Amino acid sequence: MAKTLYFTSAAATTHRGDNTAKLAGATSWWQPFAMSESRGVSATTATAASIAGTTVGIEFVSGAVALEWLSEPLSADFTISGTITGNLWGLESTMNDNTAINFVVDKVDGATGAVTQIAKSARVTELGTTPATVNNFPVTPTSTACKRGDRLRIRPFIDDIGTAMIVGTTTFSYNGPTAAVAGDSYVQFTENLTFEPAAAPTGSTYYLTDTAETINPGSATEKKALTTSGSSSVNAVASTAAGPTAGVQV
Amino acid sequence: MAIEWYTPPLEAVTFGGKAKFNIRALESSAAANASLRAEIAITAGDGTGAVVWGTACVESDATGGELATADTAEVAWVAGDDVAIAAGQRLRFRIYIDDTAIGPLVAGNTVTVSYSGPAATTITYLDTQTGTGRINGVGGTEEQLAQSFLVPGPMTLTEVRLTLSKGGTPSDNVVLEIQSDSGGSPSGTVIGTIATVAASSYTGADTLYAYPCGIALPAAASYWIVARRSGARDTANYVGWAAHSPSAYPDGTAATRGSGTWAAIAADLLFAASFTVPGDTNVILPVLVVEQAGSGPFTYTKAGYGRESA
Repeated sequence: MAKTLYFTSAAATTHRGDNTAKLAGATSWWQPFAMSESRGVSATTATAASIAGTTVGIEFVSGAVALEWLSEPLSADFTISGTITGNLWGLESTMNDNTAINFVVDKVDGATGAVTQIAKSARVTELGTTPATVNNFPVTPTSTACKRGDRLRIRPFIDDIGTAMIVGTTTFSYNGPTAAVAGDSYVQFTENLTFEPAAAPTGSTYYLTDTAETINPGSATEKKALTTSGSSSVNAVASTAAGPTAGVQV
Repeated sequence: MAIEWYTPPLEAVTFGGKAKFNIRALESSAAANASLRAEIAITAGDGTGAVVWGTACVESDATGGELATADTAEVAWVAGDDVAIAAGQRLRFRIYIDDTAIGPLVAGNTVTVSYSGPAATTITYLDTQTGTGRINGVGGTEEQLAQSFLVPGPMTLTEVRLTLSKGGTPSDNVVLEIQSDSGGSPSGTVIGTIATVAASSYTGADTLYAYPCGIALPAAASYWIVARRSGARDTANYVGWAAHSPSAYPDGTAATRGSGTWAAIAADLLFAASFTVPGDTNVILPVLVVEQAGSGPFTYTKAGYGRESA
């Protein structure tokens, strides 16, 4: 059974905290939305600016920030190798724009945050102008082993149709609640991927306490995590550094 | 010097899935552009040989996961693969300042993480259902429903649970909000939105739904959970909220809005609400783990029959 993930406008349950390269090479910050197993509640749009000439891909943006969609963590190990089908609703501002809509699927490693490309479509069928129409097409991925805890990252983007684009605006319609109308944008995997449930886990709870730990493996101050909470709040204060940063340990 | 937290040595267990890392924190300035990332690692009993199991930044939002300038609950969902923890190994927890999703961290500021405070609290009022209130939409009786509750001080609302149902086939959304109180009724001032839910997703049977959220309640006061509809009034296709009559919850009451005016009901709408306070920084693991005997603040007194405080 295949698995369908929908582009929604809900905030993702995490973010990557990093500026990484867009398809065309320049780095960008990324506004993450939720790639969900359920449709959205109200169709909305995002835009991408086509350029004069050809391109290797231009992502959709909000202001200066590019858009990406992140799934929940996978709940089991999977190898993604079967066809991935995009069902993307969009339009271009004029028929001279010469833009096609495509998508990239990446894996975000749960332990390292490393991003690995799984598939990038290369469709060259030109979009129509208003109203938005559906673009349903497959891409064959590079067979990629994903493990429990990894997330999928999906980016729609615009491409030229093999001839030069002109400056214009391409619109992507997503987050719709209804099948087969504008906003019903999704990506379907051949594999029946499963994801961690939204609800909080039900395992042991450990409270970060101010009680000193007796082990001393390194340069940090070691404290105990205990199954009983403390009774008086303590503050750990750390200074910020200039980003982009890989993280400043508190 | 940075801080890292260790569990006591654990018994062998397969560790995998999704952990909920609850962190109370603030940034010193809205210009700091600071977010947080949490990390869980598996170490040897002496803390060495750490292998990172999972890491994740906190939940995103319109600001890309930026901290607030007041101590607020943040959540990082840290997930990892199934790993065999050997007897005697520990879990290590770290918290990092990180960039937001949408912009770089700015130097010259601070981030404060509060920890070692009291645990979360929950108000639970899920009494026996004796009736159902309707949410029909604006334009007559039963436009909206609301239930008030009282908090004893500044807290962050982290989850609301409500018993809801649908009648007919409503096609719009139910908007669940927290509003402040004005003279014993919802004020109309939205403190935060709990969730916006497709009404069609409910069933005809009364069902308890959980809505995680993160809404700062700034002071000791009464607040209202308000349920309204996004679409036009439709009395044939509506949403129901289970109620108990007479009112038994001592610190609040139910209210219904008719033609724009709120009126108290001699009942309570079934709800539960969970909160955190400063210092309530903790990690809910994906699995139950068992500490090695004598390793923590507890020692086993009868093998296999429980434990008592050391």
